[in-house]
Amino acid sequence: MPRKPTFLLFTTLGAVLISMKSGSVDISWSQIIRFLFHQDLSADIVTTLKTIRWPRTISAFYVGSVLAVAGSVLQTILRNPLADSYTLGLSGGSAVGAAVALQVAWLPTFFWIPFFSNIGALLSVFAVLFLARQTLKYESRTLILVGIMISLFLGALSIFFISLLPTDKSQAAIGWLMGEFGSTRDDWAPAFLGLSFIPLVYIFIRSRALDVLSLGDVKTLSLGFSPKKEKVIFITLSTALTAFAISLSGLIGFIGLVSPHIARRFFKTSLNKYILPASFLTGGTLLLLADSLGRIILADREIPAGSLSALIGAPVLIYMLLEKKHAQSE
Amino acid sequence: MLKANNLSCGYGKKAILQNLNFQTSSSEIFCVMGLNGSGKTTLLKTLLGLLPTLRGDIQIEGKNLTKLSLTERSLLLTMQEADPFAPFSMTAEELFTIRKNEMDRQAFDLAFKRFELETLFKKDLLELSAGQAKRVWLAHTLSLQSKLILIDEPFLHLDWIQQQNLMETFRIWKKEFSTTFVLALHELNLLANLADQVCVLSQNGILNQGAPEEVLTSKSISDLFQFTAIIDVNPIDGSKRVTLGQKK
Repeated sequence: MPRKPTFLLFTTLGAVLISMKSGSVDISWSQIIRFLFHQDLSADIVTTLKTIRWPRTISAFYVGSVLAVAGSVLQTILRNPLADSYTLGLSGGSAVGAAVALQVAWLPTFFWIPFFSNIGALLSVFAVLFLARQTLKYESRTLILVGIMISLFLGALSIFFISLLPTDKSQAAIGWLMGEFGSTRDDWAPAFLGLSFIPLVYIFIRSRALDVLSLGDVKTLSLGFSPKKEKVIFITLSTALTAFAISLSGLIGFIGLVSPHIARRFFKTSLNKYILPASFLTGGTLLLLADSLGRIILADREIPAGSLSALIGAPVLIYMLLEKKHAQSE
Repeated sequence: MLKANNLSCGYGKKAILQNLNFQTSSSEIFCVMGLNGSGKTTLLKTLLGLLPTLRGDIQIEGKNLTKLSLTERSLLLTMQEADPFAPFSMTAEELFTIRKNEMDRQAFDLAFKRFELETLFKKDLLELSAGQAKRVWLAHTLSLQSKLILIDEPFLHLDWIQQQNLMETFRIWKKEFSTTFVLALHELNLLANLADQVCVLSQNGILNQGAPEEVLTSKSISDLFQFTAIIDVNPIDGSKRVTLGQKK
């Protein structure tokens, strides 16, 4: 058992190094190592690493890991292997919220975007679950269909809002829709990490309750937990995590969906005390790699991380939809 | 042990069952039967407290169900669905770590033996057959050590040997741990030989209830199913035998 967490930690560390290395300015591995250990380096390299690459690395890792934890929680409590912030429409809601924030607030700062994203995401996820409450089982794939339809609708709505913006703002907003790092928002990452600390710790501490919820309402109540109350708490927390992440990076799909599955397969368990930290590291690592790849592929320009994660993630989702093993209720 | 007074239950405002009155004593096997859609599962979920009581009340050991805290309730009663499943890969061993209190070693060991779990224990529940998985879930439910256990379709998916085995297991639990069972089931032969009390649901309420000798007669069964029925004695082991024939 201890070999697998070690492997995962080393992979994460490797991804951090790769992310520090990737970019238009050529910096050698030894320079990166020396930077990390605070040794002497030329001033311009220190500036590049310190003000551009390090914030970007933290930012991508934070977004990936938080989306993965939120996806893991949503999959567990809805007992649906296809659930995540993207397939339940809450990313879309959060995008509309942010587009509205750019529209109404004088300065779309630090406060307004996450504030409106949170509201948008909460409204959309509870709308999806409300629409599905009587006719659908939360376990069903139809729930995901409803979620994806709502996502498309909200995506169109946010484009509508963005098209109303003045050109300079709409440029920034479009980059945000694609899910990108390397903007000035990267500097928000430490603050958002701070804000996410409490929900993350709460979720990790209560991993046992998540195990219980994964067995369904009847078992949950039989084991002395209130299914309704717990679901509301955990959905609200994972929505907040998603909204913070999306405020920072823009729309990033599939990381939240795929990471928990990779974690479960790798550790061969679904007990949450293992799967939550494993998803956290896996999600962060995947998004770091996607973002680094986006900086490496083309010499003169960057491909947004959101685009790469979707290019890889969408086929994975289709594969999972077609796979028989998850067949429960249609 | 369990008492329902003028109980109405259902979903939303729509009552599926109305004015139910019944009572079970402790260490009793109370069997609920009825056609598909007669409200057996709805009744069980209401007794658990998952569905609200629309009218009337439920008492467990003299205490009103709604007055009990979630923890108190979970120590008194537990329920198992007809087809429980864990959505992601999980071994039986891991399933047994998900519980409310310290494992009752005696009940667990007995359940482990009765349901022959040794070959299944380390396997992924998703890879077991429906009957094997059912045995794991039944063992989990029985080892939770609640005083009152509600099980929907306990015999579903089990082969004949396992069905006989489960009948015996219910009797052992009744005797060793004074457990009261409320079972919803369709298997008439098992029901006739297992039940201490039978409750027949039909047309929004209780059609008939009482000891199996009174409730399960060839006339009542043939009235319920609209098929001719005979109840006699199995010539091999002397147990009760229910035979259904032509449609009336």
